[in-house]
Amino acid sequence: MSQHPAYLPHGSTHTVQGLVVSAFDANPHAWCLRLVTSRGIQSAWLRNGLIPFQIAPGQVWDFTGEIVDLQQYGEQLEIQRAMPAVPADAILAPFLAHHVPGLSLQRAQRMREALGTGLIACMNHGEVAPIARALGCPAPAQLAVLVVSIWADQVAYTELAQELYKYGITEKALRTAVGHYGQRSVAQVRDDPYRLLAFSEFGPVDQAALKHFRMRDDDERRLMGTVDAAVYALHDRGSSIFTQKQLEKAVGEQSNLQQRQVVNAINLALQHGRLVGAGERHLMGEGFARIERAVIQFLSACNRSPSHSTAAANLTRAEDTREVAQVASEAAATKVSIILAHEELVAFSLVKCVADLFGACNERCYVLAGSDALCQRIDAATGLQSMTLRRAVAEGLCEPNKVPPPRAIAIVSSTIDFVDMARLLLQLHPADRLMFIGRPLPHAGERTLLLPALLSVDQIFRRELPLNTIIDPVAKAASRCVSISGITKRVYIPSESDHRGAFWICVADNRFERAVVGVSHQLRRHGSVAIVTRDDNEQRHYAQLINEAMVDTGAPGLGTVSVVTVDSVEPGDSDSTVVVLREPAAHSASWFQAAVRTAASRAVTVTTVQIDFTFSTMQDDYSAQRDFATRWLRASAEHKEQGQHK
Amino acid sequence: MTLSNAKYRQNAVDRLKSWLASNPEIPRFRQRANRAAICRQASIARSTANANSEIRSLFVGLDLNVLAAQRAILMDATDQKNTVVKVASSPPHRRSYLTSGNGHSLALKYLLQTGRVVR
Repeated sequence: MSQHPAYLPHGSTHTVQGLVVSAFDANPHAWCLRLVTSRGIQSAWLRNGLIPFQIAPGQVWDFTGEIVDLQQYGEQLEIQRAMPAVPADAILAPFLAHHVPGLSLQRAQRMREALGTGLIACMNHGEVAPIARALGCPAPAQLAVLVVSIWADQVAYTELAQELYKYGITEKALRTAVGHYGQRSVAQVRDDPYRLLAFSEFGPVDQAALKHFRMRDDDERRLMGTVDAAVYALHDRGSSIFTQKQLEKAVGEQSNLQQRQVVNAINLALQHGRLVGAGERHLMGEGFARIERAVIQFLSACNRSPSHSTAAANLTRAEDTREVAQVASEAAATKVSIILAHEELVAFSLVKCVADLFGACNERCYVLAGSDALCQRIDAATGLQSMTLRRAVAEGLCEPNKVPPPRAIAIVSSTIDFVDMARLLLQLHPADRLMFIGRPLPHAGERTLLLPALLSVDQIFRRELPLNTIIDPVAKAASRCVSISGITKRVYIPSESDHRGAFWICVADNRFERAVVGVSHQLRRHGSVAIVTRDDNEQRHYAQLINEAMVDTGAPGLGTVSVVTVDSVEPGDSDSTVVVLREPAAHSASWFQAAVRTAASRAVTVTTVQIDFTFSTMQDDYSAQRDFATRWLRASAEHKEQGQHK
Repeated sequence: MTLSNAKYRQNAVDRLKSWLASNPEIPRFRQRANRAAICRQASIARSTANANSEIRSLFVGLDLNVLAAQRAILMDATDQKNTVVKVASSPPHRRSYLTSGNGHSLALKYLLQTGRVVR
């Protein structure tokens, strides 16, 4: 006989509503849940795979099952069926205490006793005043608003979960959808289930659309949803601008559509504005197009707004070289400027010069850099305090909700990531002066925008500082390797790992990863090491390998090892670079040059094939950067028409 | 309580009531009526406002009014969730570029974080 009132007699099936307060995998075959029910605390037993949804604390379910007596765990409700549910009156107090920050169980119970069954009606109708009176605590009104809004979200979430919990869409995805659509969540999802692709993977959403909402295979919404999913997959790999072939391949990976349907889907997406043309041969997703347009419009608006002070432009410093001083004063007088410096020290000198000019006028000059290593080099060379672009975005340049005085912002980076720039935009205003200072890097695969591409825009003030000396020896050696055939092969020898220059090592395919890790470890003795990969997927893979394989021996003088893509580092960011070149045919010569130039002292290329040093097998992509000037002109013309710059 | 104290308290209540009767814009601080600012406008010492139970109850009523207004905005925002209340309070120069067109700030933040468009 059961000892506890929560447990009904054995052998009979019964339904109970429970708030999950803990869930753990008791053994490889089942989960053990602890529930708060109307009869008290109850344990439940859930076989793996019975419900295709991750049951987690805070959820409310209607469970149906039998009471069984397990030898190890005692009496349990063995769940046979479960359905997400809106909390009933009996478990309302524990539910609210669990979800509303600052509301204790005792206070929630007092509120429920005070309002009785009317509490749910109050919350459904959004009546804050009676709830605030019933709470009777300090700041009751705030708490009451919180209670009502959390309840509204929970009701919307439950409606959505009841429809979709069978298809493997996660709780996080559903809650995010509710966060965006609110009480209209179910209606929005019924209208187009593929809206959920913004929050979830394609597979579960597609299943729900086909099985639950009975959508046809060739429904327009499905075709466009497939394209959306492919665009998101490409974005996750680091590609914002892509060719139609790349997109077709990605769509094919996502779904089982035939080639004809894929082409049809892409055309539909183009018609509906889900895809935007990025020039003659390239496409981009709607989201990225919106970001790019916003950045361009902001920059062109900065360019048009009147300069409030030109005092900085008239000052020069005697110790600066003539060209640098002149360029700095010209840049200080313009709203947006771009300066290319072939040498890092020249760029630093320019940054110092600009900061001093603005400092003399009591104006703040922020120096933002692309990477931590570059920040350190700027700080060491100039004595200024720089910060990374990402940190500036995260922490902010000024206090929120306070209009700052006009500032100068020098961004020392050879590439511009539009997403980072868009995040920074929220902290800028058109009175700020923007200076982009960097090195003329070659186009390298996925880079969003290089400074030379901005140079193609006539509306921006631009200067290229003269080339005084030849570029660093590593880049020089690499460029020789790339362009001249028949050069003496410089094979990497571990005992000579301290030598400077560009080296090669050719290994068998099955030893490739081990070779990358091994070479990285050897190079650590001579400072920091960057392993340069092609895309984010490869980066994640090698980062995991390095984490597993690289044992920190604690020996002094060992440098750090980082795995990076070529977009995220500046030339000279690491002492040594390991270039991962598993399939040379899949990389372009410009990518290779950019990868090698990230090293300050030595670059080792690990590859699986003997390279003939001419890179005749390498692809040379049609650059997506070439069409940037056209997009700029189009976006700034649109902006001018809308008159937003006023 | 002495007679003068009682009179002083009553005067403070009257002043607050007459200030409220003039239908002023209620200053707010952190989703509540800003007591310090109201006391300043109604010429009541803050210590009096804290000690006087009648004034305290008036303030609770004010808090509820403020919250009712916020609740209405909140329900609007839930109905068409993309409209975010904070947009209106941000400086105008920050509104124009990224929040124009279809880009609402909640969806925009999501776009910038994940690269995915909420339709």
